[in-house]
Amino acid sequence: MKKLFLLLIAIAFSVAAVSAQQKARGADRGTVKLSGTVYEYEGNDSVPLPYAVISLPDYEISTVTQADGFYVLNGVPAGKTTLKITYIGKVPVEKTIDITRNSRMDFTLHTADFHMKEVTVTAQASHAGQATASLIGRQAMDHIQATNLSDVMSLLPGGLSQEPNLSGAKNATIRSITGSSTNALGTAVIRDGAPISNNANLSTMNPTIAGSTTTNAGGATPTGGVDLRTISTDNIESIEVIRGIPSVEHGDLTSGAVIINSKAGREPLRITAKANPKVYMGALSTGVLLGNNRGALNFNADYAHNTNDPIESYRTFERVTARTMYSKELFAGLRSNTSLNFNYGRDRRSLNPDDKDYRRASRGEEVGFTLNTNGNWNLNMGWLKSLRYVVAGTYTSKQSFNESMQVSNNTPYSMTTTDGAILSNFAGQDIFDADGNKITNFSGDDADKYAYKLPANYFARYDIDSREVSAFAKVVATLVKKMGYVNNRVLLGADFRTDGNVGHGKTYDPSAPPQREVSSANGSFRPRDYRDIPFINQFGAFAEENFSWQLGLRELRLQAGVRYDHASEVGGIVTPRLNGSMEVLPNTLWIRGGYGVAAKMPTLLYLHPEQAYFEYKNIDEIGSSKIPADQQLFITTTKVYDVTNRNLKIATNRKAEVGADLKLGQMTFTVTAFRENLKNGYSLNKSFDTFAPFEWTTYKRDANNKLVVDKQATVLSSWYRPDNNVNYTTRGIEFDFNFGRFDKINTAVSLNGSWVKNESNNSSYYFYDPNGDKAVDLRTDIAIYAPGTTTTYNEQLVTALRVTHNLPRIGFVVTLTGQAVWKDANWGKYGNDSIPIGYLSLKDAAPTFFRDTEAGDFTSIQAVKDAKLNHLLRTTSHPLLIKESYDPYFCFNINVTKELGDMMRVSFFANNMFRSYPRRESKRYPGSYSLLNNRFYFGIEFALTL
Amino acid sequence: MKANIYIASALCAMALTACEQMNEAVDAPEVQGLTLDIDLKSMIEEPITYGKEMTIKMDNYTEGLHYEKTFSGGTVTMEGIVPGVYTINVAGRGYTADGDEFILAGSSVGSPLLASGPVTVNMKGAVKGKLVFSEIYYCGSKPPAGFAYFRDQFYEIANNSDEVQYLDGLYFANLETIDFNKTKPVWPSEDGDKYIYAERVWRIPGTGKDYPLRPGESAVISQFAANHKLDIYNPNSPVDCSASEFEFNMNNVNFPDQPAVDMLHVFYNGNSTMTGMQYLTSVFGTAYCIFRVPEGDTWDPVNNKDLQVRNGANPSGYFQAKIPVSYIVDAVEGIRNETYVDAKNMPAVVDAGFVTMGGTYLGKGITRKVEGRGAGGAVFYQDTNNSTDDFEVGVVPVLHRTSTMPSWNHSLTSSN
Repeated sequence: MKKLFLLLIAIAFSVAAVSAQQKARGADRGTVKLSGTVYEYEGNDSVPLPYAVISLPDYEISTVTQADGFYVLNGVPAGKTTLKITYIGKVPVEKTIDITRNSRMDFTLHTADFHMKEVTVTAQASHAGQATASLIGRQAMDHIQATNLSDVMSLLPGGLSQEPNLSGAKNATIRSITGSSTNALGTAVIRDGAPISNNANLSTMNPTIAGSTTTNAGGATPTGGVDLRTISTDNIESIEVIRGIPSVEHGDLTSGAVIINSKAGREPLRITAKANPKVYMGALSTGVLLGNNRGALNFNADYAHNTNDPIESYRTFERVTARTMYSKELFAGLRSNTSLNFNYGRDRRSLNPDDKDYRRASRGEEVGFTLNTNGNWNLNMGWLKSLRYVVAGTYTSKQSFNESMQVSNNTPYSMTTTDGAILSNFAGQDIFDADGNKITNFSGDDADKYAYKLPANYFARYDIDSREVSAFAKVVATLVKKMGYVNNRVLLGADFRTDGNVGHGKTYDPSAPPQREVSSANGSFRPRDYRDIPFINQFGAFAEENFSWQLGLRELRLQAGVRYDHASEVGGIVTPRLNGSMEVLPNTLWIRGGYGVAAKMPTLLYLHPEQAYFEYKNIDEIGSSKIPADQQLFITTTKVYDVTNRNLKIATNRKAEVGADLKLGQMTFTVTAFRENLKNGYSLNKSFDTFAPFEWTTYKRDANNKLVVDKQATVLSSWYRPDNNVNYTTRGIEFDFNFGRFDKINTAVSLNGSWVKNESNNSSYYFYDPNGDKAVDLRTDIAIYAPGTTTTYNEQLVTALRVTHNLPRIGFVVTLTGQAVWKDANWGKYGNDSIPIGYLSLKDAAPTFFRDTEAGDFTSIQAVKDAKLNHLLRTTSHPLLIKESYDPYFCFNINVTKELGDMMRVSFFANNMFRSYPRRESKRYPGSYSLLNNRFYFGIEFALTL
Repeated sequence: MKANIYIASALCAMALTACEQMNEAVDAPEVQGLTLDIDLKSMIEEPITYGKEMTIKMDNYTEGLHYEKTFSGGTVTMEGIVPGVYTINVAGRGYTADGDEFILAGSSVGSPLLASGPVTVNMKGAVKGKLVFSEIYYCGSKPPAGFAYFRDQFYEIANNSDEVQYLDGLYFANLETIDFNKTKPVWPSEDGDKYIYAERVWRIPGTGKDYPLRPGESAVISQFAANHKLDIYNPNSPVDCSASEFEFNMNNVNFPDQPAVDMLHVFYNGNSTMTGMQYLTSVFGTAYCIFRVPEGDTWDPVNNKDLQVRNGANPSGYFQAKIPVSYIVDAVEGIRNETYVDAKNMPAVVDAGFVTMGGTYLGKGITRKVEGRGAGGAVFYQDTNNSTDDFEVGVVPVLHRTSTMPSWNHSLTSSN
């Protein structure tokens, strides 16, 4: 595949060279000037529209209209190309023009409201020859009443309608059935050219002992993507979701990208209010021209309140966002947008007066500021057409706490964080054994600390002070040369990003630490200060050739690029990407394909994991009936291990796809078959390096009441460390059939959907240690089972038929969506997970593989028993062998929007309006039933435009 | 629009059917009470004579209809029964020619009874146990802080005969807790009702005569044989278990081994390995049994795969050990509350009834009713094989409440 790719690049460049020669022979038809005026409708008049952006993307030539709406584009190569005009709140113009001499073209832009004949309330497919993407406009967001960015993802092919609420952290995933966190982590969310980063998120309590990353009080988990709830859709002009192979200008991603274009420029004052059973929110946005070419200022703000469950009013999420964007043409050709974004989010669980048992409360507050300045400098100097740049910095303070009763503990806790320190329940006191040897071991500050046995139940509170800092800078130069029928557009660029955390970290009262981790008998907790953690720096450089060749009436397009990324600790990686298309039947049929590699760098959680702590009790006399309470001894040894994985690899996703686009009159049909292969996805796992021997001694009192050694043995401490064990392969077919609008019945019809099959596997070894929680002398060697024995499969076939009926004259639009899940199945396959392949010695944690022994591998469970290795045998179950699948089920949604006069708009939606909840019996667990489909849900929105 | 037409026509159709049903209701014949001739069929190999105080209960839980009758002999006639789906339970005692006393129970669950006529109930028998559960405390207690403390559970086994009984080698097992959704487990049909299916099995150590119980004596097996009233545990706990005879020591590093004798671990999920941090039985209650393998039989659920089975309704669940019903010495089933009776795990022959605390962490237990005192004041417990009748529920648990501690208890024997 790689070879093929290099070959294609070579072809592209050689074609470019050939065409350059053609140019030398005088094939160039020279350049021309394109000018004109852009108007907007105001009432029944057309008035000039300043600050509209006119661009010719193929040549990277663009300008903005002057105060009188006039524009000039110089140096336009003669021939056929695409022209685009965009302006906030207006329906964008995109058309193919063929200019051979200096020309004048005037345009009138329509306001994007529901009085239009063609309303776009569904996602639009992208053009052939570039990354496969879906475009979602303002109208679509209004029509579905999105409360946050994740709600619009249901418009993608294969997307299932979601309840538009803000109840839990939301992630964007691409081409995923299960919404896996690896997929979410690898989905870049890019706003105004700069990524919104989750790379410095450390909001979790105890990842290296528990092996999981639950958050303290809601919000984004460090292993997944950014929490989309913090992104209001009210200040978004359009969204592009790249599902296919993204351009090399986008780095630090594996799945794809969600690209957000914020509102900029002048717009009327819009006030919206919406409510559904869980959410009420209000937003306002406006933009003004400052006059005298002093630019434009756009401002928007919103507030949202979400009750997680109407019957649990004490669990809420609140959001405030505000954003101001200043747009100005600084000097000839340099247009810039500078924005300051503020967001506040609060997940809260207030104390429920009835929750006397647990007394649970938590709060996660997030305050973020982003300063972003980006611009486009139209240079038009020879080949160099433009220079684009983005500089952005974000500071997000996430303060969270979680408190509740901790039940059934009686575990040991020592306040030291020193490896090897041995503290007793008497701070600063040395304790000796019968022979006068010192048992305790501490120095310095540890003299004030002590060890103790936690009571069975206690109330505890933990705080996490996480302050994520990220900065991003990117510059892209575009070089364009049109030579005869060949157009070359070359992007050369570099980007830099840095992510770090300057928070005070996780803290708690040392007399009430977090609850024991059941899966790790000796594992313990310690506070961690994030300020000691270095920042992750990433540097990327990329070059991309966008080649188009006009072959008579047909066009060949090729986008071939290569990207190099380098990150702290893990080093560099080269990722090539290619997209191409061929117009087989002029203006009717295109075939296209692509192949590319995308890489996601490890995040702070994985690069700088927190140390693993262990507590080994040397003596525990607490509660003894024979020793007076004030003489009862409690001594523990604390072990601390660095769990950093210095061989961590970079996660990559190989994406390949082929597709075809067919255009018949107003109808377009797009089909894409894809295959994605994610390797080295990040996870917290056990490996041969996550076990360490510890010489554990326990004491007892002898007849003279002196301490003597009771038991002594070597045991293994075991923890989780960052690793590259997540792998999956996703195959699928996405399709998007847009039948266009049938004017006679005022109705547009579209059908999209996808068939996706995912195969995923965690390639780590399985370590079985049934006696790992037992007393010092009862532990046994740890069994090693073959790696990656369980492979799980998910398969889904989903379609969404959208029928949009609109009456432009009265500004009325109704969309009926029939969502069908034709196939919804999951199953699994198992390898040898019942016969161990080796063991880790209790003495030194060294692995022994049976294949290296004289007897060789065991071939049956009985053989393991015969060898007296019963303690290595685990009992397995294989439930996934029974395929769980549901017969097709359907869900119908309705969305209605009506303009009331010129100033008011009202929208209503009802999801699953027929309340279809098919109840299906599980094949895997007979007697258990699943209630399918989302629950009936509805909402209303009012918008006022002044 | 089309959708509306469909809805409208669907509504019309429903309205029409409804009318039709009303017509049928008017034409319906008057309900007559059924007369049922119940015939008991003994499943015991030896011929038996039925006792004088046989009881029959017929319960239609959905309609809330209950009938009960006491009779003697092997047949009974029930009259005026409203047709419906019934669970029939017959209980009583049977005697062989040799004078052996059997506890008899028979049931027929969910039979539709729509017409008068004969009904046969198969009666199974178990020899009346000489050892019984005399006190069980499973629901845990409520500590001053927090809501749950469950390490103070215990099970007391008493000698209910007039001879010395040896605990050595006696097995203790618990069944899986009834599924929260009342999903009934699915066991192999070829097993019939010859077995019960245990989640975890323990055994009392000893070589044969190490742990004698004289008449009137009992032994306590604690989850954790410590004084639970200590501050570090739960000052509100009703019990100090430090004088227990036995404990289920899981060798957990956080719960030091106590002086009580450790139970031997036999079976869990197909293995003898003592998997888990603690041995906790459900605080909602589950089914417990003690059993003994008859001499000459071998019962090895770890190595004999035929004695292991998974609940067919839960392929990811654990392997359960099959215990032949004939091995059972005594059994008690605790359930979450009365509504869980339909999903009861134990067959009627081992426990025709159930106990329920109706809550958790109440600090309350169950104690077996005393039938009388024998020579020397040794207590005799009521044992009708129906724990609903045999136990007093909701009492503050006490170790050795009505029975006495055996002489070999570690707290009575010197230095240990």
